[in-house]
Amino acid sequence: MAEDQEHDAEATRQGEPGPGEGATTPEHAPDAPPKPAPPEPLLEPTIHVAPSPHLSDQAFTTRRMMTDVLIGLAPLLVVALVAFGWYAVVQVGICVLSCLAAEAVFTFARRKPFSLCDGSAAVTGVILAFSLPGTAHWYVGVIGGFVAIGLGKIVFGGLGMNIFNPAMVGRAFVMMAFVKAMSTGYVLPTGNPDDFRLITQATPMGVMKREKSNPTPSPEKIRADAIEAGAGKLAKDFGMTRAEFDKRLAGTYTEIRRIVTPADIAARDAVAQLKASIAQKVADAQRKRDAHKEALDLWRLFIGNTNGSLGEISALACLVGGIFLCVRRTAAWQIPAGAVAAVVVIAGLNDILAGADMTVLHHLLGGAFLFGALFIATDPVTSPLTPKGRAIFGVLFGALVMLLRNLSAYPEGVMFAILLVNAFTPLINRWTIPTPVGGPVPQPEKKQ
Amino acid sequence: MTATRTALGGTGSFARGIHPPERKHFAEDAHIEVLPTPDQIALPLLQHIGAPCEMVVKKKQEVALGEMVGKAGGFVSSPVHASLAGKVVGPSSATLPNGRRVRTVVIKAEGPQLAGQALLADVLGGDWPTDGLAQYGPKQIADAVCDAGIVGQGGAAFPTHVKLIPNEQSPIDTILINGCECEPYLTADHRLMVEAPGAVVAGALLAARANGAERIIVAIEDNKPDAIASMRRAAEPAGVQVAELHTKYPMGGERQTVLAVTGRTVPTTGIPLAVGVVVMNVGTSAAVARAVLRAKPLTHRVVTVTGAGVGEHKNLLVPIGASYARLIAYCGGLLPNAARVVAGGPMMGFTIGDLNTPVTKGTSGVTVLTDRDVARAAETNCVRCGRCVDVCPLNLVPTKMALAARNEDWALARRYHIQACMECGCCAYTCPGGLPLVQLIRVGKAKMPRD
Repeated sequence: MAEDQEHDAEATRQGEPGPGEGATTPEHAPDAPPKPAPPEPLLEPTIHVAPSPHLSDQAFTTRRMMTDVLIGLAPLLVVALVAFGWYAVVQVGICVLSCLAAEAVFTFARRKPFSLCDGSAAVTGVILAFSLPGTAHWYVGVIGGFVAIGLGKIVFGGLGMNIFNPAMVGRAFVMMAFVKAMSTGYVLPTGNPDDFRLITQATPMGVMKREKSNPTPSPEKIRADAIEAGAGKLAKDFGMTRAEFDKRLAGTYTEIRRIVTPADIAARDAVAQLKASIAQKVADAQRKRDAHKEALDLWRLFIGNTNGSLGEISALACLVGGIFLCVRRTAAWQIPAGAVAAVVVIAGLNDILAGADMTVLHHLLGGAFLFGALFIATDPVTSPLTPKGRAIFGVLFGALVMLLRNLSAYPEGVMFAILLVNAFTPLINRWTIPTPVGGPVPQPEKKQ
Repeated sequence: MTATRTALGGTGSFARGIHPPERKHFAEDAHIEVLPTPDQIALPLLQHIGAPCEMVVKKKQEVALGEMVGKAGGFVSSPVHASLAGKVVGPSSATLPNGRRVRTVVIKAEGPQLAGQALLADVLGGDWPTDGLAQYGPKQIADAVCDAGIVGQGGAAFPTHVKLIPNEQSPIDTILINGCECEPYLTADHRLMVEAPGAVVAGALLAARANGAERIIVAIEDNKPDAIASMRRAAEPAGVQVAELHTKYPMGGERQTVLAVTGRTVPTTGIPLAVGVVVMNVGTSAAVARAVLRAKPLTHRVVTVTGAGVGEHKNLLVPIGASYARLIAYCGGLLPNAARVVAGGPMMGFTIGDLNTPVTKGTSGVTVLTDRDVARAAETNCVRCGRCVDVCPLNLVPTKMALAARNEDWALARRYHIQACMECGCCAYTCPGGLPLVQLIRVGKAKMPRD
């Protein structure tokens, strides 16, 4: 049998059946090395080789996911513009621009390819802006943006590598750096009682937290207490009897004197001052109770007619945007579902057993819970990979939010809850490795 | 498809999987046409799973159509026969689409050839009686199939006679005849079921007689209603059932077909025999019928030539050993926009660089794709979106396996069951980040140290 020879002359000819079918002709003299044929002019198409699969779902790309998130955030942007006007525009603009700038600077410094086009920095910027109050100054947004991108994303290796949600990392940093601005700074002090803009009102969660830790007594009680205190003081200072005090207060005191002494005038003034201060205290208490009742108004929480971070105020807008993301499969529905379930159970138990002012619906609709559950917790990079893992993640997130709201001094627990539950993601992934259909790969028997 | 259990045990579907565009319209209505006899064929001596054949003819020897030219190299092996009449030119070698370099026997056509309608009638046409099969004993059937060189025509090319022997440890109770053809573009099995259902049914009955299976079920995806009707007409009088399955990729993968029809789960890295099932392609079944009833070996098969990059789309009856170039030329040649020539379907097929590669017993189609067909998203980092997990039919986590393989973290790869992957391509199809998941897993499986 003649030796067969490897011969590549046929390999460059494509699409043409010739006498050389079957790849090689065997009868070459062994000492004539085969010469490759000269390249043919490109009259035929150029085909290339590649590994399978050769088709892909061209509709679904990373950039489309980011665009979906921006579209989902649009209802929140509309509500923020209506509620906060110019403050919203400035805040969103500053945060987005700083995030984009930070990404550009850091990727250039790492000599990596320009990645702004994938949209993830813009999304981080918008989410960061939505978690800040409208009153925050420009430098809060800038610092927040640079920390979010730099410490939250780039330092871990860029897109897809971070453990913590970058926007929340930025938010946590500015929370600590500008504590007063971030906690009580939600209310814009204008000193103008006729200014009814939302940004001048107290935030619902703030009001509810304050009422819980420091409940306002009823106006009647305040009045009664103040009267008692006042009676005691006037008795001490002027030797006034209780009967006289009551009459003076009621305005039915008549005295018949020929000479009005300075002590009498002082007593009269003291009573008048007392009356004014009681009225003031009662009015304050009434205002606080009105604010509490307003804060508990579910319709306002649902629609968004309250103060708060730019993105958190309207539960309706969050639901519309969030459900859009779940339907588009950009966000995993198991996460918000698990979170809502956890909150319903914990808040429900709280309500039934301890009788809190805030019912389940208050917890669901108030504060940043829906915003966090639908837009921040569902960030795919920082949440688990499998459906079971995501459900566990969602439940843990809801439980942590309730824990922080009930037991910590903060009125709102979403930001820290996100960071804490992000830390659990690698562990959840490890615990929920799915079993293959057909069982795990059988281990070979150990040889003796 | 509802998820209720059917009488056969399965739900008619399986969890996850994908729905790629079917693109069957190119060739699904093309009647099987006979490729004119080529001038020359090159028969690979290894075109099956198992040991290669030994060449048993000499140079310049004259061979007849169907004469054995390669002897089987062992039990798990299969002989090779001449698919045209002519003269042996000599031994040679070729690189098959899967990358293996194998020896071939080159035969030049000489003398009168069986061709055209006569060949079609000989291979697929005529009567395929389903009664009177009791005259063939089980061993006789298995021997006939072994001698005829029949291997699985679905693509894996496993020697069929190994499946036709009753197994003491794992008794076989069901034969599934796989007519799913879940790959986009391919229509060879579809046309076979429409045009030669009798051969498929006869082969199925013979196979069941050989390995003792009690139930014979033909599995067909519901996107082929004419094939379902045609097979039902042929099968029901003979006691063979037809199961209509939900159209989904990879329904034709044997693990998924067994699960969908019978509800049984084939163990990881195991074979359907472990759950008492044997799976056979419709083309293999027809070849079994021809081998037993007509005493003819496997020399021809139906191959679909399709895709937007080739001039015409046909289902051709081709002799084993004809070159891809010959098939493509007969179908109008490559169009200017042709970018990839795939042996098989676009999800799991191998691309070929040299069109002079011979067609083998496992070649189900030639899909010529354009740049637009194969375009994929630019590769970004994995954003852990989990879509690959949502579609993996085996419930694995492709991103973890692929990235573990890329970073050579073998402990992590093992923890995520990398050896269980069947490389179907669902994950890479869906990945929005354009990661070459299947390629990474494939390389990882090969590089992983055995221990």
